[in-house]
Amino acid sequence: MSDIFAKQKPKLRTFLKVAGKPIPKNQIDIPDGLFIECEQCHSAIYQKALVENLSVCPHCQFHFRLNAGDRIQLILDENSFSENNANLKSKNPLSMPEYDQKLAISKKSTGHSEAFISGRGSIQGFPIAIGVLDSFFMMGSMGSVVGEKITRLIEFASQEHLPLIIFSASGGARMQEGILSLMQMVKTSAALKKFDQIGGLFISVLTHPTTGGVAASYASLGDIIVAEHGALIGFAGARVIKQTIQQDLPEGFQTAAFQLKHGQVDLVVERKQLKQTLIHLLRFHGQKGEPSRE
Amino acid sequence: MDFKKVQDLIKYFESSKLTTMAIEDGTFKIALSKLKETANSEPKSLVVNDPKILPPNVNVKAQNTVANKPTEDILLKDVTSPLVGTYYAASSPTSEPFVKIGQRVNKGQTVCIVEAMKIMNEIASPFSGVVEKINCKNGDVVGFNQVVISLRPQE
Amino acid sequence: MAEKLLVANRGEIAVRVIRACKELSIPTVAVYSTADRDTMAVKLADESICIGEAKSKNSYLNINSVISAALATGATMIHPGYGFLSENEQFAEIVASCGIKFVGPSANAISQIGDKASAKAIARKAGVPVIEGSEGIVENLEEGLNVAKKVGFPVMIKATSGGGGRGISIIRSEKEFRDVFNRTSMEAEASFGDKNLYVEKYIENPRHIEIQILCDSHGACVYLGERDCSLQRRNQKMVEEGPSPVVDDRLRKKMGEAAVKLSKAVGYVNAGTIEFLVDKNLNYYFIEMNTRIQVEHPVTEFITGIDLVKEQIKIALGKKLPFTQRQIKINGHAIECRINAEDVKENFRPVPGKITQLIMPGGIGVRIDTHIYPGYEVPPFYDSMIAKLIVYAPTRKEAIRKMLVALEQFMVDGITTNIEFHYSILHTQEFISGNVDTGFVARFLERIKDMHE
Repeated sequence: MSDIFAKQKPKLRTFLKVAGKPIPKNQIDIPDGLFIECEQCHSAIYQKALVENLSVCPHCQFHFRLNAGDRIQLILDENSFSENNANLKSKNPLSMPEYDQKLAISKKSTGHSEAFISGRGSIQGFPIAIGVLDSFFMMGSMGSVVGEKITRLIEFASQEHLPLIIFSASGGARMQEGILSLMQMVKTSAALKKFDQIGGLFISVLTHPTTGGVAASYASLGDIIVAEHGALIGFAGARVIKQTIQQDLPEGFQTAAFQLKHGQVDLVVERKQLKQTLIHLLRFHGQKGEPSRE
Repeated sequence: MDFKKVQDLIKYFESSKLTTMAIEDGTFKIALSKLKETANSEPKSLVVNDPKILPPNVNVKAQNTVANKPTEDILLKDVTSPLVGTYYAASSPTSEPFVKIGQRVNKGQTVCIVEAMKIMNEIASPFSGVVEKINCKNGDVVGFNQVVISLRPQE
Repeated sequence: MAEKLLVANRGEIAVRVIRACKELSIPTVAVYSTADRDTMAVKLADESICIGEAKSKNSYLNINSVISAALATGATMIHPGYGFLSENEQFAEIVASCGIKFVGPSANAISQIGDKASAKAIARKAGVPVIEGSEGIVENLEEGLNVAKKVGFPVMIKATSGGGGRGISIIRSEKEFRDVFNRTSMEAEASFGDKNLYVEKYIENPRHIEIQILCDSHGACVYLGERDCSLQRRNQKMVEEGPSPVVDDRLRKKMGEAAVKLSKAVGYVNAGTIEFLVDKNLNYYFIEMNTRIQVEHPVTEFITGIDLVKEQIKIALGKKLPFTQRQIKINGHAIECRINAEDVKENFRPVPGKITQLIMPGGIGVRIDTHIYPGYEVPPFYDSMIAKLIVYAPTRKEAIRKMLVALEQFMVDGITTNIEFHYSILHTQEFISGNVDTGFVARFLERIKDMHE
């Protein structure tokens, strides 16, 4: 039966000289950034919908990286954040080529002077010392300034008797500062030891990706280690490990779920649950904040 | 081959566990395929390509094909688009197309791009085979499940 | 750029929109799911594109697919029809952000008035009478119960994001309230993705009367009379007529002006319908606004002589309304029957299947809006409405007569329809005397139950 529709148009023009009008072929140009591509499932996400969903893909739950400002806004009470040590700036102690340029580029694009933002704030009334590694600043790599800011934050938390929460996302130690970067691993770990001795609470939140010298130092020393859903957490890169041991790696290697199964993290949470989870943990550990809203 | 032999061939094929069978013998070609019927489709029938061996009262055209496909094409496997967008044969206007006719393609290999909302989605072939038909050209509108490339399957 | 309109819908409304576009010489793009390959809209449109699998959420509700189809085909306008994405404010927003004209109001207007709780607040502020109830959504069962006790039983619990007659429960006592509240909330979450409810007084056996409005983008807004949609089964409309047998010129003017006031309050543009409940004393109460063209729009088209869909498209193109309120006249009487592929005897169960024969009525004032044709297979995935039969005559009595004759001559074989059911309802004393309310169909069904046992 379907052919009758196809036959109709030419049939109508049997005695007519006029052919049909051509169908326009327009090119609609949409603004850039209106849709964001999910890194994992490649689907198109409406930019506003992505923001509303806390930068998590609504289809596959892939957690996009958050910059320090967005992370602070997500977790802390409005207007409760006050920054410490914002004036610390990196130099180029080993005179590494292009390091100064890379620093300048990162400063310009992120608006921060370094990869670590620290200070104090409150979550639902619970006062805390907070630090966030911004993976958009030189891959969140830890150099002297980052290490120093972390250490000062730990000491600040000690002095003020505040619980400490640090959000990490990093490629590891900053290569351009060589041994000085590696030294930060020791420095931050030592500061945490002292903090621990006075009974301080340190919650380490691992976000995608947390690797290298950061994973191998302070980030893994939390009293409680919380990982975001889907985060890549490990020390060396998977490819390097595979080449070295000449073996296939297990399914899900270095994902948050894998690390949970193998006892490397205590909790894996979806970003939308993160704030509530931190509030629970703070309340459970005897901190005083606003009364429960449940 | 005479018609009786073709009938025997069909009977054999129907009772066997084979799902597709193709035979070429000089100018005579026959392809048989057992395909599932779907809700809105014509029932699949087989095609005999040599009218000389059919009885005179059988109209070859009436015994027509699986969804209007000529003989050989029943055996082709289609790579379809999982999304709606615009087809591009290469990753950029200056690059070489991903595949050419006659090229061998492995399972998982990118065969084309379907662009949607400025996002370039690489379409991977779910089968291995040799490219026999490229059904779209650069800038064509592509709908869901539309066939972009047809392959002659090969392991 | 030359205009091109993509119809983001299916079935009879897609055909309707395509017809209007053709009359306006605008090329059309039809989108279809894999189950709708042979649908009439696809055959009539200039271009068509498959957007996903049969299930609505994969195709007609899939915003990415629809937008991508519009961008790929170079559509400059999208008409969302009714249902599906027509009242989805994020869809309207994305369409506008892509620089495509949305044939409907702005995303902002949709979100303000589409949310039933906030719409009620806007109506109250504009001085439009509303039904007593909660101010917005109720947070929990206790709060809901307090409201119920304040306005007095019986009350209605409604899902704030509901529609199409779903997510509504009627409650007559406190005990019943406790049982039903949470259940309705869960159903709402499942059907609309939003568990929020609001509570309001239930008016027993009201009439459902709605006002059609049209607003252009230059600030002009008019009302085009009313439609009486009191014949409903489980809050789904079956028969609509206009004008309403109980509305006189004075009441029409009051309701119409209230509707216009409300529309202007949210800066509404394009076609919309304001729904009212009218009690036995002809007090009218605003219940909700539908920010789209409605199924029963042909009733208004007959009694006003105005092509609403064409006006929609012209408004979207930025044109001014070609008529003033004074110039709109209501003449004659129109009735619409929704013909569904369903088995009335089996509790109105939808019956998909292949239409083997089809004969449709005709004559002066007989209109059929449909997508069916002989050989068409009604798919099981979508609502069961297959056609709208609308008649028009100078008086209500003649219109009823005409509808009966048209129903007699509407013959469909291969599937079961509700044609006989419409035929019998239109014979009832209540309908003929214009004395029906929203509870009538249920009572009628009880009456005829014994007939089929």
